[in-house]
Amino acid sequence: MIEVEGVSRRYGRHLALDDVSFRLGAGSVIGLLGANGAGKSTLLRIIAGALEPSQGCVRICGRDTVTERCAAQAQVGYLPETAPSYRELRVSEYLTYRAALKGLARGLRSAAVERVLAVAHLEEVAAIRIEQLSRGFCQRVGMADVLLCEPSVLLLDEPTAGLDPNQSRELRELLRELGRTHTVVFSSHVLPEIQAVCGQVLLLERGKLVLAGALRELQESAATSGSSEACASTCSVLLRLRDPERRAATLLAALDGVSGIALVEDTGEELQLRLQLARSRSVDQQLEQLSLKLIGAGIGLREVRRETLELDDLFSRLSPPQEAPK
Amino acid sequence: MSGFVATLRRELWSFWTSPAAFVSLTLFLLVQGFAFAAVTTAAAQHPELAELGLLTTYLGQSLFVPAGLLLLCPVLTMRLLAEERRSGTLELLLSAPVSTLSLVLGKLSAAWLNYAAFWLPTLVFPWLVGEGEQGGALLLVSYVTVLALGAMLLALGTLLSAVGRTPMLAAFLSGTSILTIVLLGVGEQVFEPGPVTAVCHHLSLQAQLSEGARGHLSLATLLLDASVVVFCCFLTVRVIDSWRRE
Repeated sequence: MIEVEGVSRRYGRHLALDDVSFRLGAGSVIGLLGANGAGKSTLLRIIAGALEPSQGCVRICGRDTVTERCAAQAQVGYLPETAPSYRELRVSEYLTYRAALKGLARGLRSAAVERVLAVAHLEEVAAIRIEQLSRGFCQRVGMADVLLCEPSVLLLDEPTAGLDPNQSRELRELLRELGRTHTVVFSSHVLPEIQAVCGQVLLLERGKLVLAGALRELQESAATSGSSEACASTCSVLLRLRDPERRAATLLAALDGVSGIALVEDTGEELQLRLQLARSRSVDQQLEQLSLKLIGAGIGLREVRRETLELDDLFSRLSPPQEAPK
Repeated sequence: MSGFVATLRRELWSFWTSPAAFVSLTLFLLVQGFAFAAVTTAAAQHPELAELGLLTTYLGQSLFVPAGLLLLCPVLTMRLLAEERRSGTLELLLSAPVSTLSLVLGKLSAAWLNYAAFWLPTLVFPWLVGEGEQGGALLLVSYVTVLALGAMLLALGTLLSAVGRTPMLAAFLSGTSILTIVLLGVGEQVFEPGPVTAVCHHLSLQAQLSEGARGHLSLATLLLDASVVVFCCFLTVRVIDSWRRE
Protein backbone atom coordinates (compact mmCIF):
# COMPACT_ATOMS: atom_id res chain seq x y z
CA MET A 1 0.00 0.00 0.00
CA ILE A 2 2.77 2.46 1.00
CA GLU A 3 6.31 1.81 -0.17
CA VAL A 4 9.04 4.17 0.97
CA GLU A 5 12.42 3.41 -0.55
CA GLY A 6 15.61 5.18 0.50
CA VAL A 7 13.91 8.52 1.05
CA SER A 8 16.11 11.42 2.09
CA ARG A 9 15.05 15.05 2.35
CA ARG A 10 17.20 18.11 2.71
CA TYR A 11 16.15 21.64 3.64
CA GLY A 12 19.20 23.51 2.47
CA ARG A 13 22.05 22.00 4.45
CA HIS A 14 19.82 20.40 7.05
CA LEU A 15 19.14 16.72 6.46
CA ALA A 16 15.57 16.20 7.70
CA LEU A 17 15.21 12.58 6.54
CA ASP A 18 18.06 10.20 5.99
CA ASP A 19 17.58 7.10 3.85
CA VAL A 20 14.21 6.04 5.26
CA SER A 21 12.72 2.83 3.90
CA PHE A 22 9.69 0.79 4.92
CA ARG A 23 6.59 -0.85 3.51
CA LEU A 24 3.12 -0.78 4.97
CA GLY A 25 0.29 -3.07 3.96
CA ALA A 26 -3.44 -2.49 3.91
CA GLY A 27 -5.61 -2.60 7.00
CA SER A 28 -3.35 -1.36 9.74
CA VAL A 29 -2.91 1.61 12.05
CA ILE A 30 0.68 2.76 12.25
CA GLY A 31 1.97 5.20 14.82
CA LEU A 32 4.71 7.57 13.73
CA LEU A 33 6.82 8.53 16.71
CA GLY A 34 9.73 10.86 17.15
CA ALA A 35 10.90 13.91 19.04
CA ASN A 36 10.29 17.38 17.66
CA GLY A 37 12.34 17.85 14.51
CA ALA A 38 12.78 14.12 14.00
CA GLY A 39 11.22 14.36 10.55
CA LYS A 40 7.69 13.03 11.16
CA SER A 41 5.82 15.86 9.42
CA THR A 42 8.32 15.90 6.56
CA LEU A 43 7.82 12.17 6.05
CA LEU A 44 4.03 12.51 6.04
CA ARG A 45 4.19 15.44 3.61
CA ILE A 46 6.40 13.44 1.27
CA ILE A 47 4.03 10.46 1.36
CA ALA A 48 1.13 12.86 0.69
CA GLY A 49 2.95 14.26 -2.35
CA ALA A 50 3.06 17.79 -0.92
CA LEU A 51 6.86 17.58 -0.85
CA GLU A 52 9.25 15.78 -3.14
CA PRO A 53 12.05 13.70 -1.66
CA SER A 54 15.60 14.81 -2.38
CA GLN A 55 16.45 11.15 -2.93
CA GLY A 56 14.51 7.92 -3.07
CA CYS A 57 10.89 7.35 -3.98
CA VAL A 58 7.48 6.79 -2.44
CA ARG A 59 4.74 4.71 -4.03
CA ILE A 60 1.11 4.64 -2.96
CA CYS A 61 -0.74 1.60 -4.30
CA GLY A 62 2.09 1.24 -6.82
CA ARG A 63 1.90 4.89 -8.02
CA ASP A 64 4.97 7.08 -7.66
CA THR A 65 4.22 10.29 -5.76
CA VAL A 66 6.46 12.36 -8.08
CA THR A 67 6.00 10.92 -11.57
CA GLU A 68 2.34 9.90 -11.07
CA ARG A 69 1.52 12.48 -8.47
CA CYS A 70 -2.19 13.00 -9.08
CA ALA A 71 -2.92 9.25 -9.32
CA ALA A 72 -1.01 8.63 -6.07
CA GLN A 73 -2.62 11.59 -4.29
CA ALA A 74 -6.09 10.37 -5.26
CA GLN A 75 -5.47 7.42 -2.91
CA VAL A 76 -4.42 9.59 0.03
CA GLY A 77 -6.27 11.60 2.63
CA TYR A 78 -3.85 13.93 4.39
CA LEU A 79 -4.48 15.99 7.51
CA PRO A 80 -1.68 18.49 8.15
CA GLU A 81 -0.62 19.31 11.69
CA THR A 82 -2.68 22.47 12.19
CA ALA A 83 -5.71 21.27 10.18
CA PRO A 84 -5.72 24.37 8.00
CA SER A 85 -8.91 25.36 6.18
CA TYR A 86 -10.55 28.33 4.51
CA ARG A 87 -11.95 29.99 7.59
CA GLU A 88 -14.34 32.28 5.73
CA LEU A 89 -16.30 29.28 4.42
CA ARG A 90 -19.05 27.39 6.20
CA VAL A 91 -18.21 23.81 7.14
CA SER A 92 -20.46 22.27 4.46
CA GLU A 93 -19.20 24.74 1.83
CA TYR A 94 -15.63 23.91 2.66
CA LEU A 95 -16.21 20.17 2.45
CA THR A 96 -18.10 20.55 -0.84
CA TYR A 97 -15.18 22.54 -2.22
CA ARG A 98 -12.71 19.90 -1.08
CA ALA A 99 -14.83 17.14 -2.60
CA ALA A 100 -14.83 19.02 -5.92
CA LEU A 101 -11.09 19.64 -5.72
CA LYS A 102 -10.51 15.94 -5.14
CA GLY A 103 -12.47 15.18 -8.28
CA LEU A 104 -15.63 13.72 -6.74
CA ALA A 105 -18.46 13.80 -9.29
CA ARG A 106 -20.96 16.61 -8.75
CA GLY A 107 -23.86 14.21 -8.09
CA LEU A 108 -21.96 12.40 -5.34
CA ARG A 109 -20.70 15.43 -3.44
CA SER A 110 -23.63 16.22 -1.19
CA ALA A 111 -24.00 12.57 -0.12
CA ALA A 112 -20.26 12.37 0.60
CA VAL A 113 -20.38 15.60 2.61
CA GLU A 114 -23.35 14.39 4.64
CA ARG A 115 -21.58 11.10 5.32
CA VAL A 116 -18.39 12.71 6.63
CA LEU A 117 -20.36 15.30 8.62
CA ALA A 118 -22.03 12.39 10.40
CA VAL A 119 -18.79 10.46 10.91
CA ALA A 120 -17.02 13.50 12.38
CA HIS A 121 -20.11 14.58 14.38
CA LEU A 122 -20.28 17.92 12.63
CA GLU A 123 -23.95 18.01 11.58
CA GLU A 124 -24.80 20.72 14.10
CA VAL A 125 -22.07 23.06 12.88
CA ALA A 126 -22.43 22.37 9.15
CA ALA A 127 -23.83 25.84 8.48
CA ILE A 128 -21.35 27.70 10.70
CA ARG A 129 -18.31 29.52 9.39
CA ILE A 130 -15.09 27.71 10.22
CA GLU A 131 -13.63 30.88 11.76
CA GLN A 132 -16.28 30.62 14.48
CA LEU A 133 -15.35 27.07 15.47
CA SER A 134 -13.08 25.97 18.29
CA ARG A 135 -9.76 24.31 17.50
CA GLY A 136 -11.19 20.90 18.30
CA PHE A 137 -14.00 21.38 15.81
CA CYS A 138 -11.53 22.65 13.20
CA GLN A 139 -9.58 19.44 13.73
CA ARG A 140 -12.75 17.47 13.14
CA VAL A 141 -13.44 19.43 9.96
CA GLY A 142 -9.95 18.43 8.82
CA MET A 143 -10.73 14.83 9.71
CA ALA A 144 -13.98 14.99 7.74
CA ASP A 145 -12.04 16.37 4.78
CA VAL A 146 -9.60 13.47 4.94
CA LEU A 147 -12.43 10.93 4.77
CA LEU A 148 -14.29 12.63 1.90
CA CYS A 149 -13.31 10.48 -1.05
CA GLU A 150 -12.78 7.29 0.96
CA PRO A 151 -9.04 7.16 0.30
CA SER A 152 -7.19 3.92 0.95
CA VAL A 153 -4.37 5.67 2.84
CA LEU A 154 -4.94 8.16 5.66
CA LEU A 155 -2.05 10.33 6.83
CA LEU A 156 -2.75 12.24 10.00
CA ASP A 157 -0.23 14.62 11.52
CA GLU A 158 -1.01 14.99 15.23
CA PRO A 159 -4.76 14.49 14.71
CA THR A 160 -5.72 14.71 18.37
CA ALA A 161 -4.02 18.04 19.03
CA GLY A 162 -6.60 20.41 20.44
CA LEU A 163 -9.23 17.75 21.10
CA ASP A 164 -10.74 17.26 24.53
CA PRO A 165 -10.47 13.78 26.13
CA ASN A 166 -13.89 12.67 24.88
CA GLN A 167 -13.14 13.81 21.36
CA SER A 168 -9.74 12.12 21.49
CA ARG A 169 -11.37 8.88 22.59
CA GLU A 170 -13.93 9.12 19.78
CA LEU A 171 -11.16 9.77 17.27
CA ARG A 172 -9.18 6.80 18.55
CA GLU A 173 -12.22 4.59 18.10
CA LEU A 174 -12.72 5.98 14.61
CA LEU A 175 -9.08 5.31 13.74
CA ARG A 176 -9.33 1.76 15.06
CA GLU A 177 -12.39 1.21 12.91
CA LEU A 178 -10.77 2.78 9.85
CA GLY A 179 -7.65 0.73 10.43
CA ARG A 180 -9.56 -2.44 9.54
CA THR A 181 -10.00 -1.36 5.94
CA HIS A 182 -7.51 1.49 5.43
CA THR A 183 -3.85 2.08 6.03
CA VAL A 184 -3.76 4.76 8.70
CA VAL A 185 -0.48 6.46 9.58
CA PHE A 186 -0.65 8.99 12.37
CA SER A 187 1.96 10.89 14.26
CA SER A 188 1.51 11.79 17.88
CA HIS A 189 3.48 12.80 20.93
CA VAL A 190 0.85 11.22 23.16
CA LEU A 191 2.38 7.80 23.62
CA PRO A 192 -0.59 6.12 25.38
CA GLU A 193 -2.62 7.12 22.35
CA ILE A 194 -0.24 5.31 20.02
CA GLN A 195 -0.26 2.38 22.40
CA ALA A 196 -4.05 2.30 22.47
CA VAL A 197 -4.60 2.46 18.72
CA CYS A 198 -1.59 1.29 16.79
CA GLY A 199 -0.58 -2.19 15.88
CA GLN A 200 2.71 -1.00 14.45
CA VAL A 201 5.07 1.87 15.09
CA LEU A 202 7.72 3.72 13.17
CA LEU A 203 10.22 5.64 15.25
CA LEU A 204 12.22 8.43 13.69
CA GLU A 205 15.32 9.76 15.36
CA ARG A 206 17.02 12.78 13.77
CA GLY A 207 15.73 11.84 10.36
CA LYS A 208 16.61 8.16 10.57
CA LEU A 209 14.15 5.35 10.98
CA VAL A 210 15.47 3.59 14.08
CA LEU A 211 12.56 1.29 14.78
CA ALA A 212 9.81 -0.29 12.76
CA GLY A 213 7.56 -3.17 13.55
CA ALA A 214 4.66 -4.57 15.54
CA LEU A 215 4.31 -2.61 18.77
CA ARG A 216 4.00 -5.59 21.09
CA GLU A 217 7.02 -7.35 19.69
CA LEU A 218 9.05 -4.17 19.89
CA GLN A 219 8.12 -3.61 23.50
CA GLU A 220 8.93 -7.17 24.42
CA SER A 221 12.19 -7.24 22.53
CA ALA A 222 13.27 -3.91 23.95
CA ALA A 223 12.46 -5.16 27.45
CA THR A 224 14.52 -8.25 26.76
CA SER A 225 17.51 -6.90 24.99
CA GLY A 226 17.58 -3.33 26.10
CA SER A 227 18.61 -2.52 22.57
CA SER A 228 16.90 -0.93 19.67
CA GLU A 229 16.94 -4.11 17.63
CA ALA A 230 13.48 -4.63 16.30
CA CYS A 231 13.66 -8.42 16.21
CA ALA A 232 15.26 -9.75 19.33
CA SER A 233 15.33 -13.54 19.43
CA THR A 234 14.05 -13.95 22.97
CA CYS A 235 11.09 -12.88 25.08
CA SER A 236 11.42 -11.90 28.72
CA VAL A 237 9.03 -13.42 31.29
CA LEU A 238 8.80 -12.61 34.99
CA LEU A 239 7.77 -15.35 37.44
CA ARG A 240 6.69 -14.85 41.06
CA LEU A 241 6.90 -18.12 42.98
CA ARG A 242 6.59 -19.74 46.39
CA ASP A 243 9.52 -22.13 46.30
CA PRO A 244 10.91 -22.93 49.75
CA GLU A 245 13.20 -25.65 48.41
CA ARG A 246 14.61 -23.47 45.63
CA ARG A 247 14.02 -26.08 42.94
CA ALA A 248 12.36 -23.86 40.35
CA ALA A 249 15.55 -22.64 38.65
CA THR A 250 16.79 -26.19 38.10
CA LEU A 251 13.44 -27.35 36.73
CA LEU A 252 13.09 -24.40 34.40
CA ALA A 253 16.64 -24.66 33.09
CA ALA A 254 15.82 -28.15 31.84
CA LEU A 255 12.95 -26.92 29.69
CA ASP A 256 13.38 -26.48 25.92
CA GLY A 257 13.46 -22.87 24.81
CA VAL A 258 14.61 -21.38 28.13
CA SER A 259 17.80 -19.59 27.24
CA GLY A 260 18.42 -17.75 30.47
CA ILE A 261 17.30 -17.48 34.09
CA ALA A 262 18.07 -14.61 36.41
CA LEU A 263 17.12 -14.06 40.03
CA VAL A 264 15.31 -10.76 40.43
CA GLU A 265 14.37 -10.90 44.11
CA ASP A 266 14.41 -13.41 46.93
CA THR A 267 12.40 -12.40 49.98
CA GLY A 268 12.75 -15.78 51.66
CA GLU A 269 9.07 -16.42 51.43
CA GLU A 270 8.82 -15.54 47.74
CA LEU A 271 11.06 -15.71 44.72
CA GLN A 272 11.09 -13.64 41.54
CA LEU A 273 12.83 -15.00 38.45
CA ARG A 274 13.28 -13.56 35.00
CA LEU A 275 13.33 -16.07 32.14
CA GLN A 276 14.43 -15.59 28.57
CA LEU A 277 12.30 -17.70 26.23
CA ALA A 278 13.24 -18.40 22.64
CA ARG A 279 10.98 -16.77 20.10
CA SER A 280 11.69 -19.57 17.67
CA ARG A 281 8.94 -21.53 19.48
CA SER A 282 5.51 -20.31 20.50
CA VAL A 283 5.96 -18.27 23.65
CA ASP A 284 2.38 -19.04 24.76
CA GLN A 285 3.01 -22.78 24.53
CA GLN A 286 6.26 -22.44 26.45
CA LEU A 287 4.43 -20.52 29.18
CA GLU A 288 1.80 -23.25 29.42
CA GLN A 289 4.49 -25.94 29.68
CA LEU A 290 6.52 -24.19 32.32
CA SER A 291 3.41 -23.43 34.37
CA LEU A 292 2.35 -27.12 34.31
CA LYS A 293 5.89 -28.20 35.21
CA LEU A 294 6.13 -25.87 38.20
CA ILE A 295 2.65 -26.67 39.49
CA GLY A 296 3.29 -30.39 38.99
CA ALA A 297 6.43 -30.07 41.11
CA GLY A 298 4.43 -28.50 43.94
CA ILE A 299 5.85 -25.01 43.45
CA GLY A 300 3.38 -22.19 44.13
CA LEU A 301 3.00 -20.17 40.94
CA ARG A 302 1.77 -16.72 41.97
CA GLU A 303 2.33 -14.72 38.79
CA VAL A 304 3.50 -15.21 35.22
CA ARG A 305 3.98 -11.98 33.29
CA ARG A 306 5.48 -11.20 29.91
CA GLU A 307 7.69 -8.20 30.31
CA THR A 308 7.08 -5.34 27.95
CA LEU A 309 8.59 -1.92 28.03
CA GLU A 310 6.08 0.90 28.30
CA LEU A 311 6.08 2.91 25.14
CA ASP A 312 7.30 6.08 26.79
CA ASP A 313 10.26 4.16 28.24
CA LEU A 314 10.93 2.71 24.84
CA PHE A 315 10.63 6.16 23.28
CA SER A 316 13.02 7.79 25.75
CA ARG A 317 15.48 4.91 25.41
CA LEU A 318 15.54 5.08 21.62
CA SER A 319 15.02 8.78 21.18
CA PRO A 320 17.10 10.54 23.87
CA PRO A 321 16.63 14.28 24.37
CA GLN A 322 18.31 16.27 21.64
CA GLU A 323 20.57 19.22 22.06
CA ALA A 324 19.22 22.46 20.71
CA PRO A 325 20.59 23.10 17.23
CA LYS A 326 23.43 25.61 17.19
CA MET B 1 -10.65 20.41 -15.00
CA SER B 2 -12.30 19.68 -11.64
CA GLY B 3 -9.40 21.48 -9.95
CA PHE B 4 -9.89 24.53 -12.17
CA VAL B 5 -13.65 24.81 -11.57
CA ALA B 6 -13.37 24.11 -7.83
CA THR B 7 -10.61 26.69 -7.41
CA LEU B 8 -12.45 29.28 -9.50
CA ARG B 9 -15.68 28.88 -7.55
CA ARG B 10 -13.94 28.92 -4.19
CA GLU B 11 -12.00 32.06 -5.04
CA LEU B 12 -15.12 33.87 -6.29
CA TRP B 13 -17.13 32.75 -3.27
CA SER B 14 -14.47 33.74 -0.77
CA PHE B 15 -13.99 37.12 -2.43
CA TRP B 16 -17.63 38.12 -2.71
CA THR B 17 -18.56 36.96 0.79
CA SER B 18 -15.99 39.26 2.35
CA PRO B 19 -16.73 42.90 3.21
CA ALA B 20 -13.37 43.86 1.69
CA ALA B 21 -14.76 43.10 -1.79
CA PHE B 22 -17.59 45.60 -1.40
CA VAL B 23 -15.38 48.25 0.22
CA SER B 24 -12.90 47.92 -2.68
CA LEU B 25 -15.71 48.01 -5.24
CA THR B 26 -17.21 51.13 -3.66
CA LEU B 27 -13.83 52.93 -3.60
CA PHE B 28 -13.05 51.88 -7.17
CA LEU B 29 -16.41 53.12 -8.45
CA LEU B 30 -16.06 56.37 -6.51
CA VAL B 31 -12.67 57.00 -8.14
CA GLN B 32 -13.92 56.06 -11.63
CA GLY B 33 -17.14 58.04 -11.14
CA PHE B 34 -15.09 61.05 -10.09
CA ALA B 35 -12.85 60.56 -13.14
CA PHE B 36 -15.80 60.45 -15.51
CA ALA B 37 -17.38 63.48 -13.83
CA ALA B 38 -14.07 65.34 -14.19
CA VAL B 39 -13.91 64.43 -17.89
CA THR B 40 -17.49 65.62 -18.40
CA THR B 41 -16.74 68.92 -16.68
CA ALA B 42 -13.54 69.39 -18.68
CA ALA B 43 -15.36 68.62 -21.94
CA ALA B 44 -17.85 71.40 -21.16
CA GLN B 45 -14.94 73.85 -21.01
CA HIS B 46 -12.82 72.40 -23.84
CA PRO B 47 -14.86 71.65 -26.99
CA GLU B 48 -12.01 69.57 -28.50
CA LEU B 49 -12.50 67.00 -25.75
CA ALA B 50 -16.22 66.85 -26.43
CA GLU B 51 -15.45 66.26 -30.11
CA LEU B 52 -13.14 63.39 -29.23
CA GLY B 53 -15.95 61.80 -27.25
CA LEU B 54 -16.37 61.51 -23.48
CA LEU B 55 -15.80 57.73 -23.41
CA THR B 56 -12.64 58.07 -25.51
CA THR B 57 -11.37 60.84 -23.25
CA TYR B 58 -12.28 58.96 -20.06
CA LEU B 59 -10.70 55.62 -21.04
CA GLY B 60 -7.95 56.88 -23.32
CA GLN B 61 -6.76 60.20 -21.89
CA SER B 62 -7.61 60.17 -18.18
CA LEU B 63 -4.87 59.12 -15.79
CA PHE B 64 -7.49 57.74 -13.43
CA VAL B 65 -7.84 54.54 -15.46
CA PRO B 66 -4.15 53.50 -15.25
CA ALA B 67 -4.25 54.64 -11.61
CA GLY B 68 -7.28 52.39 -11.13
CA LEU B 69 -5.37 49.46 -12.64
CA LEU B 70 -2.40 50.26 -10.41
CA LEU B 71 -4.58 50.03 -7.30
CA LEU B 72 -7.07 47.38 -8.35
CA CYS B 73 -4.84 44.64 -9.77
CA PRO B 74 -2.61 44.25 -6.67
CA VAL B 75 -5.72 44.15 -4.45
CA LEU B 76 -7.25 41.39 -6.56
CA THR B 77 -4.11 39.23 -6.75
CA MET B 78 -2.21 39.80 -3.51
CA ARG B 79 -3.98 37.02 -1.61
CA LEU B 80 -4.19 34.43 -4.39
CA LEU B 81 -1.14 32.39 -3.42
CA ALA B 82 0.63 34.40 -0.72
CA GLU B 83 -2.35 34.01 1.61
CA GLU B 84 -2.46 30.25 0.99
CA ARG B 85 1.17 30.14 2.02
CA ARG B 86 0.67 32.34 5.07
CA SER B 87 -2.38 30.50 6.40
CA GLY B 88 -1.07 26.98 5.76
CA THR B 89 -3.80 26.02 3.28
CA LEU B 90 -1.12 25.68 0.63
CA GLU B 91 -0.43 22.21 2.01
CA LEU B 92 -4.02 21.24 1.23
CA LEU B 93 -3.58 22.38 -2.36
CA LEU B 94 -0.22 20.70 -2.78
CA SER B 95 -1.60 17.40 -1.49
CA ALA B 96 -4.73 17.55 -3.66
CA PRO B 97 -4.88 15.36 -6.76
CA VAL B 98 -5.01 18.26 -9.20
CA SER B 99 -2.50 19.73 -11.62
CA THR B 100 -0.68 22.91 -10.64
CA LEU B 101 -1.76 24.53 -13.91
CA SER B 102 -5.46 24.03 -13.12
CA LEU B 103 -4.93 25.71 -9.73
CA VAL B 104 -3.15 28.68 -11.29
CA LEU B 105 -5.71 29.08 -14.08
CA GLY B 106 -8.57 28.78 -11.57
CA LYS B 107 -7.12 31.53 -9.42
CA LEU B 108 -6.22 33.81 -12.32
CA SER B 109 -9.65 33.37 -13.92
CA ALA B 110 -11.35 34.21 -10.63
CA ALA B 111 -9.26 37.38 -10.29
CA TRP B 112 -10.07 38.32 -13.89
CA LEU B 113 -13.81 37.79 -13.39
CA ASN B 114 -13.65 39.92 -10.24
CA TYR B 115 -11.78 42.57 -12.24
CA ALA B 116 -14.48 42.46 -14.94
CA ALA B 117 -17.15 42.76 -12.26
CA PHE B 118 -15.45 45.93 -10.95
CA TRP B 119 -15.51 47.51 -14.42
CA LEU B 120 -19.03 46.36 -15.26
CA PRO B 121 -20.88 49.23 -13.49
CA THR B 122 -18.79 51.79 -15.41
CA LEU B 123 -20.65 50.72 -18.58
CA VAL B 124 -23.43 52.98 -17.28
CA PHE B 125 -21.28 56.09 -17.75
CA PRO B 126 -21.61 56.37 -21.59
CA TRP B 127 -25.39 55.96 -21.31
CA LEU B 128 -25.59 58.70 -18.72
CA VAL B 129 -24.19 61.21 -21.24
CA GLY B 130 -25.97 59.75 -24.25
CA GLU B 131 -22.93 58.12 -25.93
CA GLY B 132 -23.95 54.53 -25.26
CA GLU B 133 -26.38 54.01 -28.11
CA GLN B 134 -24.21 55.63 -30.78
CA GLY B 135 -20.92 53.92 -30.07
CA GLY B 136 -21.62 50.23 -29.44
CA ALA B 137 -18.52 49.05 -31.35
CA LEU B 138 -16.33 51.68 -29.70
CA LEU B 139 -17.64 50.66 -26.33
CA LEU B 140 -16.92 47.00 -27.07
CA VAL B 141 -13.35 47.63 -28.29
CA SER B 142 -12.64 49.98 -25.37
CA TYR B 143 -13.72 47.44 -22.80
CA VAL B 144 -12.02 44.51 -24.56
CA THR B 145 -8.81 46.55 -24.27
CA VAL B 146 -9.44 47.17 -20.58
CA LEU B 147 -10.11 43.46 -20.02
CA ALA B 148 -7.04 42.37 -22.02
CA LEU B 149 -4.80 44.76 -20.10
CA GLY B 150 -6.34 43.50 -16.88
CA ALA B 151 -5.59 39.88 -17.79
CA MET B 152 -1.95 40.79 -18.37
CA LEU B 153 -1.55 42.72 -15.12
CA LEU B 154 -3.46 40.11 -13.11
CA ALA B 155 -1.25 37.32 -14.48
CA LEU B 156 1.76 39.36 -13.39
CA GLY B 157 0.13 39.88 -9.99
CA THR B 158 -0.56 36.14 -9.65
CA LEU B 159 3.09 35.39 -10.33
CA LEU B 160 4.19 37.96 -7.75
CA SER B 161 1.69 36.55 -5.25
CA ALA B 162 3.52 33.23 -5.63
CA VAL B 163 6.89 34.93 -5.21
CA GLY B 164 5.93 37.20 -2.30
CA ARG B 165 5.73 35.40 1.01
CA THR B 166 2.98 37.59 2.43
CA PRO B 167 -0.03 39.27 0.79
CA MET B 168 1.37 42.72 1.64
CA LEU B 169 4.70 41.94 0.00
CA ALA B 170 2.88 40.52 -3.02
CA ALA B 171 0.77 43.70 -3.27
CA PHE B 172 3.89 45.85 -3.00
CA LEU B 173 5.71 43.88 -5.72
CA SER B 174 2.67 43.93 -7.97
CA GLY B 175 2.05 47.66 -7.44
CA THR B 176 5.71 48.45 -8.08
CA SER B 177 5.73 46.39 -11.29
CA ILE B 178 2.62 48.07 -12.64
CA LEU B 179 3.99 51.50 -11.72
CA THR B 180 7.19 50.62 -13.61
CA ILE B 181 5.14 49.71 -16.69
CA VAL B 182 3.21 52.99 -16.38
CA LEU B 183 6.49 54.93 -16.12
CA LEU B 184 7.95 53.06 -19.11
CA GLY B 185 4.93 54.28 -21.04
CA VAL B 186 5.84 57.84 -20.09
CA GLY B 187 9.19 57.25 -21.82
CA GLU B 188 7.32 57.43 -25.11
CA GLN B 189 6.88 61.15 -24.54
CA VAL B 190 10.32 61.68 -22.98
CA PHE B 191 12.79 60.09 -25.43
CA GLU B 192 13.56 61.05 -29.01
CA PRO B 193 11.72 58.87 -31.54
CA GLY B 194 13.59 55.60 -32.11
CA PRO B 195 13.70 51.99 -30.95
CA VAL B 196 13.46 52.95 -27.27
CA THR B 197 10.27 54.93 -27.78
CA ALA B 198 8.87 52.06 -29.88
CA VAL B 199 9.42 49.65 -26.98
CA CYS B 200 7.95 52.19 -24.54
CA HIS B 201 4.94 52.58 -26.83
CA HIS B 202 4.30 48.83 -26.97
CA LEU B 203 4.57 48.51 -23.20
CA SER B 204 2.58 51.65 -22.43
CA LEU B 205 -0.71 51.03 -20.65
CA GLN B 206 -1.85 54.52 -21.56
CA ALA B 207 -1.10 53.92 -25.26
CA GLN B 208 -3.06 50.65 -25.25
CA LEU B 209 -5.99 52.28 -23.49
CA SER B 210 -5.87 55.25 -25.81
CA GLU B 211 -5.85 53.06 -28.94
CA GLY B 212 -8.73 50.97 -27.59
CA ALA B 213 -10.73 54.05 -26.65
CA ARG B 214 -10.41 55.24 -30.27
CA GLY B 215 -11.82 51.93 -31.47
CA HIS B 216 -8.51 50.47 -32.70
CA LEU B 217 -8.01 46.88 -31.63
CA SER B 218 -4.45 45.91 -32.47
CA LEU B 219 -3.70 42.22 -32.90
CA ALA B 220 -0.08 42.85 -31.91
CA THR B 221 -1.22 44.39 -28.63
CA LEU B 222 -3.57 41.53 -27.91
CA LEU B 223 -0.81 39.03 -28.72
CA LEU B 224 1.56 40.88 -26.40
CA ASP B 225 -1.02 40.72 -23.59
CA ALA B 226 -1.70 37.03 -24.26
CA SER B 227 2.02 36.24 -24.33
CA VAL B 228 2.55 37.92 -20.97
CA VAL B 229 -0.40 35.94 -19.52
CA VAL B 230 0.98 32.62 -20.82
CA PHE B 231 4.53 33.41 -19.68
CA CYS B 232 3.40 34.51 -16.20
CA CYS B 233 1.21 31.39 -15.83
CA PHE B 234 4.14 29.21 -16.86
CA LEU B 235 6.41 30.89 -14.30
CA THR B 236 3.75 30.68 -11.58
CA VAL B 237 3.39 26.94 -12.16
CA ARG B 238 7.16 26.58 -11.97
CA VAL B 239 7.29 28.57 -8.71
CA ILE B 240 4.55 26.45 -7.11
CA ASP B 241 6.17 23.20 -8.26
CA SER B 242 9.45 24.42 -6.79
CA TRP B 243 7.74 24.65 -3.37
CA ARG B 244 7.50 20.86 -3.40
CA ARG B 245 11.29 20.73 -3.74
CA GLU B 246 12.21 23.61 -1.39
